[in-house]
Amino acid sequence: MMPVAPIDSPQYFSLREKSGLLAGLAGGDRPQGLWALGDPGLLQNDVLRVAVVGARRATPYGISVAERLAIELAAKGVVVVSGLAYGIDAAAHRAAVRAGGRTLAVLGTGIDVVYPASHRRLQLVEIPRQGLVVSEFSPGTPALAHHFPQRNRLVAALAAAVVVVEGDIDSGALITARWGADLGREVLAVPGSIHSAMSRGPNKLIRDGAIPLTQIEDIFEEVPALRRLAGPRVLGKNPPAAFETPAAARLLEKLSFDPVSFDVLLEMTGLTVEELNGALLEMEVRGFVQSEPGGYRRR
Amino acid sequence: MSTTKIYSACPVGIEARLVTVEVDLRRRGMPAFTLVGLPDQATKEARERVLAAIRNCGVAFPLAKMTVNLAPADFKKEGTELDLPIACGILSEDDQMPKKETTTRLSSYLFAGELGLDGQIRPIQGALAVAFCAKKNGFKGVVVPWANREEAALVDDLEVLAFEHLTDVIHWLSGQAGARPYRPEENFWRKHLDGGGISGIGSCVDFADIEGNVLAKKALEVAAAGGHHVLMIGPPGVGKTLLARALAGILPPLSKTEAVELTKIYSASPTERASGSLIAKRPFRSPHHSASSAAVVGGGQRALPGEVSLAHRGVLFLDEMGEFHRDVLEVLRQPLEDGEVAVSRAGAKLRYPARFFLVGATNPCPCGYLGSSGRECQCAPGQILRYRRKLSGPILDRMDIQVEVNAQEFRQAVAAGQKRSAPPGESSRVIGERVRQARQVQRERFADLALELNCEMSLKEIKAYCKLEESEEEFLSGVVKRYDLSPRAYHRILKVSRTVADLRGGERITREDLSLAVRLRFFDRLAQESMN
Repeated sequence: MMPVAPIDSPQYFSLREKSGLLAGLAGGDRPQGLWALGDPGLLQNDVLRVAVVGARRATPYGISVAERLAIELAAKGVVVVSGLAYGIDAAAHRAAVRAGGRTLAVLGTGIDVVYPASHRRLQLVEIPRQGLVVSEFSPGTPALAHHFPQRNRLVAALAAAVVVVEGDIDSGALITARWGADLGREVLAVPGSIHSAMSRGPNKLIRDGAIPLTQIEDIFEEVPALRRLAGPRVLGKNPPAAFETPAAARLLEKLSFDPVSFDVLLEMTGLTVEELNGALLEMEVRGFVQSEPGGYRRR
Repeated sequence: MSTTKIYSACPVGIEARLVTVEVDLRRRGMPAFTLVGLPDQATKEARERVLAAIRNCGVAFPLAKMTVNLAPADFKKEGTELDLPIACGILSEDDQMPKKETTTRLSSYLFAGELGLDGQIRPIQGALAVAFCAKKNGFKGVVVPWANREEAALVDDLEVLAFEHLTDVIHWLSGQAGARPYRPEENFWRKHLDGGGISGIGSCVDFADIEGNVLAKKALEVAAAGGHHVLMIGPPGVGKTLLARALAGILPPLSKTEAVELTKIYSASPTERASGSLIAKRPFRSPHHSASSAAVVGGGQRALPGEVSLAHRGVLFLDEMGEFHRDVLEVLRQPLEDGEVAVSRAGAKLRYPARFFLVGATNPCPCGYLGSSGRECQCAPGQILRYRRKLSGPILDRMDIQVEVNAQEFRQAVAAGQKRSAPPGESSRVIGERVRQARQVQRERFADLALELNCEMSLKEIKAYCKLEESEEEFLSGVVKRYDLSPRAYHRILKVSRTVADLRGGERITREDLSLAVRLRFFDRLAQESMN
């Protein structure tokens, strides 16, 4: 069956001609249609797409991995595909948008339904500006629990590789991974602590044969389609231009990707409250540091 | 036949209204004792107490038809303070005392006291209000129970005669004995007020005894200096309550006027243990989150002062702020705005002062462990958002400072088995002194205006007193852009940074002052980011 005609808004369009893209899917698994908002160019066959997926209840570790991965991919022009849920999904989309890259969100609701509500801006403005939001569900379809696993097969189908960042063993991210494997996509998993419930999923995937992503840059080595992009990193490693607050550069070295509390930083650096705070805030404003419940971390 | 008039006062809220007790006595007719003039139950029972007390003093109770009227007759007389004036009135009307002296004494003093059956005079509620009422109505002095003497003596230029027994009053009234007005000791005010600290259950906590949480301590110092309400966000058991208690300890001591004002409130609250004595320390109140709005703002059948008034000039601490009923948080708006609260009841509208320091505490998420290193948070992202949303809105708007409190460092120190190497923090005395100086700076700045502290600045004053240099302006607009701050948040930051600069003794608001103020806006910085 062919997609339904565009709905009222001129921003929406039908993807009739694009459905060939989903050739990997068996007949019954093909979407009935696709509604989209944004740049349809992202669905061209020659565009490189990588799915970054994971738990909604992500840990700071997962969030920072997802962000860095998305930034790296975006910097090299790879489209970051995800499901626009809380946690890992949103972190990946956001980071890609911020890095000026393109990202593709596959919804589990109708294209005109925002779920969760706090992603309104992301879904309607930020992603469509350079990227694309798609849904196979007819406009107005509310958030239904059984639609989300269904959406995951499209996430896998639209990507050359699936990276599972975090998720418990019953997580939707593992469904995406299974679809990825079934469709012949590369499946990668980010190893994590054996104590963390959110790393149980990816750790299990690795045990079952998924490729462990032990360094962010490895993504370009491990995925054949991305291999030509491997090479010197464009973003991230180079220390930022001079900070205005003198303590900032020294401080950046002390920060890790796990949050460290203000008190600990104070002891580690020997700065005064005012100096430390000033330096942290400057780095936050300039996007090198993230503050969150529990402390401060690099991003 | 004449009637005897004697004056007393009945508490209405934290004030007292003058009541004239008229006693009429007729020797003919059936002996009876009638009490009219809208007495409530406790007042009605005065009859029995007065009767027994007079007899037990070895004085004959007149066998006659007696009518006692409490004027004005249109408002409800509450409490037991009318026992003493009724007894005195009856004895005077019965000609048991020399008429001349008695009449002058009866008319120049205001009487209040509860009687025991043996004639003992028991303490009453609202003695301070009664004394104020005496002063206002031009009485020479006030006759009160011995136990209420200190309270009544808080009113300047008013003679306080305190008695323990009805017999003593009779002797004095009939001129058989003199009475020495009660005077508080010489250095009474100095002794009580200079100490600082807090009153109420539990003692004050010194900042030096609280480990870590440097930022939270700084936040409280800024709050105390500028009068900014504070919200603390952190997992359970990291010392939010302790910090709130410590805050009360760095506020400047109460002034005499403030102490009297506060004592009036406590004097009118029968449930408060401290009632009856001078409240010389700042109160610390922490109602439970199941409290009703009547308990918090005042009200109920007798329209008693609520927690907001009991926390007047002190700290109102709302632990688990998000768990309070919505309507309780809503009713806090009026006292936060006006510094007083209006409590309506049948027939009257009472106003209680309620200028308190609001300190809230909340967990970062429903389970409490979001962001803590020791335990994993069990909450779904949507749950966390909903939890936060409950707090937002009008009340959060009025809290200039929102600061994170955490226990991470403590846990790490324990895990590593090492003692903290950092020197102990500053003591409350040192911090309190800085707060005092910062408040002095503000008083001088606002000398010509109707405000006292930075927290009261309106947009106009913010424009005038929180001027930024170009580079600071630029920095702040970068922050605004980064966190997508509202104009309201922007002004809050300016206000708080003014206080930070005042604490430093600085004229100009520096970039570090601004940075600290931004840091103390936890929710504003979080809103955009954390809910990925």
